[in-house]
Amino acid sequence: MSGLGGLAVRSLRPVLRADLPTKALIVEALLAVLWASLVARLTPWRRLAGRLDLKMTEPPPNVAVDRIVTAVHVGRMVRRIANALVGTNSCLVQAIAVRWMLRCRGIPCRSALGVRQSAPGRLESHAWVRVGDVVVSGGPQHRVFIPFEPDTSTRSRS
Amino acid sequence: MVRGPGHLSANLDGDIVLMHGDNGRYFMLDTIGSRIWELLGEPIAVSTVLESLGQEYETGGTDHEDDTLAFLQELLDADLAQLDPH
Repeated sequence: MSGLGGLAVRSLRPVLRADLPTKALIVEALLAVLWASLVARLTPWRRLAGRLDLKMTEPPPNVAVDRIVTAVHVGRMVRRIANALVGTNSCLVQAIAVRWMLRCRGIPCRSALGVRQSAPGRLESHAWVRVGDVVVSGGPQHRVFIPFEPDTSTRSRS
Repeated sequence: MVRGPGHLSANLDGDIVLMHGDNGRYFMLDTIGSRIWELLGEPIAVSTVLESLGQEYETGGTDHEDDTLAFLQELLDADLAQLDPH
């Protein structure tokens, strides 16, 4: 097949050939990315930051290797799905989607939001998710970003 | 004055970038702004901020006061800092 019809068939071919667990993961990741895209657009920042646990200061818990492997697969699938859809391939959408899917599996994770100066006076931000010490979403680009941390030195009374 | 609660910060080679905890806006502070933010880590009188900056940067007068006061007002307006009643 040629043209757009051929493109659609090529995009679907890996999905159609996948085994059942992979097909289920694809569907789950698709739903997660679509939901995350809505959440990212409609949720006020304060709630979104809370949902991403950006103000959490405790170190992430240790996680068994097999669960880290699962988390890595989840992150890869979310990235593939997000990149295949229009308007969903932002790091923040992927981070929200990955967190949701990991929570469904009972795998603890930590999100981070970082910043760097891409040009004088110009800032660029990035979001990523870690399980234990492994970045499962948003890596390896996260290495050039400085993570935001909660301001813990104030004694102000809220 | 003192920093407001609930904000996030990142240190980019000595310059502080703040993220407002409620609205997610970014604020990039230059060297002096970062120093002022550091001073606001605990409740501090505005006069003490002015005096400290005057000594640290050897301005030899009050030339820096207008700019510092304007910056402090910006922090208040952006809800990044607040007046400490004590």
